[in-house]
Amino acid sequence: MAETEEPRGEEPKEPEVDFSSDLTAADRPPKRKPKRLGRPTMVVDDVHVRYRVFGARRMGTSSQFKPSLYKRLFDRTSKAVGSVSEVHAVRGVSFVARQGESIGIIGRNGAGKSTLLRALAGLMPYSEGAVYAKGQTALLGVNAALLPRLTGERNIVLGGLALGLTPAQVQAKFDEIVEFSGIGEFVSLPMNAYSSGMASRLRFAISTAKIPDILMIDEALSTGDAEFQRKSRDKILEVKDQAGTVFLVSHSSATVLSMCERVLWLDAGRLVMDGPAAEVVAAYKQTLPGNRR
Amino acid sequence: MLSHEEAAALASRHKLRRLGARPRLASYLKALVRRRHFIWYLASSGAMGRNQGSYLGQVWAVLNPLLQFSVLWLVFGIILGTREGTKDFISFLAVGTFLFGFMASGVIGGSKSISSRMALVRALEFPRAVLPTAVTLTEMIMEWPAVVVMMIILLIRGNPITWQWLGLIPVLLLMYGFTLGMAFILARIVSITPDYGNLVPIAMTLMRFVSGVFYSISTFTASLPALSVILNYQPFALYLSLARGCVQDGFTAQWYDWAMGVFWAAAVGFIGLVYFWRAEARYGRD
Repeated sequence: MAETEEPRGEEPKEPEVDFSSDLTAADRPPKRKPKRLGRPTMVVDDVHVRYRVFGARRMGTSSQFKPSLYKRLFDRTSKAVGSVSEVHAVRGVSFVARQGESIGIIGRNGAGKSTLLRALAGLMPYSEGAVYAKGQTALLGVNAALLPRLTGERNIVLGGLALGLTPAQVQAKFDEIVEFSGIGEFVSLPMNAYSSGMASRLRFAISTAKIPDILMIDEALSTGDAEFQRKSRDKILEVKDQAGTVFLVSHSSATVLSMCERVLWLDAGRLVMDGPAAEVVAAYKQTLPGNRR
Repeated sequence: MLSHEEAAALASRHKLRRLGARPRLASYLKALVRRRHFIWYLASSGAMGRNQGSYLGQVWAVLNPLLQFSVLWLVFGIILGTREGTKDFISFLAVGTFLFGFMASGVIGGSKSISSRMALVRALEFPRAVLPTAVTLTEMIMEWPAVVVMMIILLIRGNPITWQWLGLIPVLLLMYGFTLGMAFILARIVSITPDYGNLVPIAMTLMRFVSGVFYSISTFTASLPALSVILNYQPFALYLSLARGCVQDGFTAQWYDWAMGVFWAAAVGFIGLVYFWRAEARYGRD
């Protein structure tokens, strides 16, 4: 955030970076209006996320140069036995999201994109700050709820119930899910008999069965063949129309540009830039090694 | 930039709720009840998936407890001879092994229910109490074949079927309440400090040895009445003697035994739920 760290040299000082006018809401109109924006659906106020990692070596400690056994066992600072490191993955992010907005989150590997997304979905507790959200938030991806040893049928019901659908709603959506995933009669086989493409198609079909108020997507478009990618893109647009607000984390700037009007650029857990997709993506690309287009 | 106060005011003006705040206990329970279908489906799917991937499949649900029973009978009944003071050792051991097995696997499975499903906790929003509840329920479903085997052994040994056998149903429900409470408490502890997960199976091994699974506590502690009371009324041993009072010839349970059984289930179940709920906003951090 600008208040905690000086902007980097390469960061273009666009007026869009100053989103305070956008924040103070209803009374003042935003400077740029790509389309009619609704009421705030999410207010993110200086959020920090820290998590623990067990068994991690301290950064920069090479295994070739171990300290003596005595030191490893009794020196509390070296933490060689059962060491716990804390990762400060998101360091003070603030923004306001509005109804009808689709917001991309870009940044290098390890910039904290996925962690931020989980914190916004209410799935990973944040250590400081606050996230306020309207209605139900959901992260696209029920794969964690599914059991590969069980049949596709059973997993559709399990995934639907995990999303919070009632048994009757799952029943009503069942055929639609099977058809959308295109797995055909494989639905009665255990999921570990599926090809990876079939499994990911089924997972996507299940996870879009329920449309939340705020939808979070983490690299969902990277799976499946071209035909399925087109179908899933349509599905996301449909979800977006009904959901209100969509967040999309992706490595592909093309995907972000085609899906989102607004982009947050995250680096080392801090928000570097927040503005219209084209400008932020262009600025982000300039910092990439080789400056590739 | 908005100040914290401005952000909070903006949020409240548009009726946004704060994420990660712990819900009130009543609404938490309501949300848990709303997820009952998910709990049941998760539990039964877990039980189905457990014995899949082997040639004998669900037969293992019967074979496993039977083999365990045979081992304990060989070691304690034949080699060490702890049958002293028990009229029908095989029936005694059958009730002890199978019902203790339910509590032990419920407690051990429940203690890992959050830490082993962290991916699920980080992917979907639901009251986290769903997971310990479903895992203990899975153990209960898995236990049914063993309970049937236990009844067959009791019948073969010539224990008469009486109306008292129906008492087994409340005993199993009380055991479930107690086990669930333990699962809640341990799930919270293990998810925050995973190291304790290694101690749970060891503690359950200890309980197996001191809970009168394969010997009669009263016979072995005859000279120490205080120890006898403590060992007989700790929940694991108490539920075994309640069950024996229902199904085994020559055993009876008094009203105060039942009162104690209800007390343990209610107290541990309630304390466990509240203790687990209090950390609701912390699960999923690591």
